[in-house]
Amino acid sequence: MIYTNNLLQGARIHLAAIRQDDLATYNKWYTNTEFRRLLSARAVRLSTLESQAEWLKNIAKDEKTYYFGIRSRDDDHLLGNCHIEIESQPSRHGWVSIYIGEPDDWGKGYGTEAMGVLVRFGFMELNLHRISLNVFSYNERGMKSYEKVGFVHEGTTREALYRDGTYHDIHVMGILRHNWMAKHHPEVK
Amino acid sequence: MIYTNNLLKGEKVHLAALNKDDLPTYHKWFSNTEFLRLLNPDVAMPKTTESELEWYEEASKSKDEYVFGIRALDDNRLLGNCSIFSISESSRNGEVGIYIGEPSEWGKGFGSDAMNVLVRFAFMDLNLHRLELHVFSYNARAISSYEKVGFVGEAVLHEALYRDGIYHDIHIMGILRRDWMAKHHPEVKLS
Repeated sequence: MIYTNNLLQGARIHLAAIRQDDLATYNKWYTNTEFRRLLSARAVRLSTLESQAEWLKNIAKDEKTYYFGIRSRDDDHLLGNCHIEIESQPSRHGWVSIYIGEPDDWGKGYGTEAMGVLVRFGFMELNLHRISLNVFSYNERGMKSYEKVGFVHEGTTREALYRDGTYHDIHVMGILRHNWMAKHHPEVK
Repeated sequence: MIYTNNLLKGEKVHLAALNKDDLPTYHKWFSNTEFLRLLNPDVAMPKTTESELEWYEEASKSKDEYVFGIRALDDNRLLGNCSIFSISESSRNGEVGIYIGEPSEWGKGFGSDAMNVLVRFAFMDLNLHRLELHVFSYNARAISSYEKVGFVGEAVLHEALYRDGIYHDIHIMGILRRDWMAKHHPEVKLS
């Protein structure tokens, strides 16, 4: 299987370049604190259209990270965002992050599908050996989705996140190319 | 116990401000590939004097990292370096890094002593709740030193590091303030 025409395409979604006219949508998502507290360990700092424009400018210059918008294939509407950051070129190791921005679109499998395409891009195009991610202990939906893609729980950094009066754990998950290949391309030696 | 006069002092070492005169020593250490391959996942490329100077100037100005030279208490010679970085202000945690630069000073307990002081500084002065560090699976000496200080193995990133034809694991270790307090200051009741 050579992914020439469908490298960035899943069954219902595709990964696309981020567009200037998406920024208002990103900014709307970033005012939702429920969303923000699943996304990042940083204290919520509300964004502005200007800070979103600045973000878009910065990621265009970031050569070690590959950013994508997640769009639905039927009407091309923006569902979320994902990226792979290459931590080490010689060790072929990258970190991924993903989100579906609109709460109405949660729980429909879009994130799992987009992560499948992102991981495939990491292994089949970037030649990564390993992909890692962090997920907060209270984000059970996220963990379940990553397990479906093939990520394995590799450990837990204890009490690494403060939220609402207590400290929460952060889980580390990883996926290796040879395990992914054995599942998706058992014909390849 | 209030660490007023001995905040940065251990049994054998003390943590000191960086000093520009030390840069030739750092330069010598950062030409040693054995050292470089224990230190970080970067390509083992010797550092130029210019990049050493740049590092020094950035570290000296930094307001969100705490970088120390490790010096011997007996003759004040430079032994290595340690730092606290990637600090999360709201979650009160940070990452630590440490090294003894001179191979002839390895295995004498200077690193464990310096790490004890660094951890104490993080918990007693910076008010952090948790510290973590990353260490390579083949660095058994470092792992046992960190365990002595009280770090616990929490995660293993499988095959995250390429060296010499194969992939090695990277271990994440962590220490929590209340565990450190229970060991060092059992008289203090934690709220």
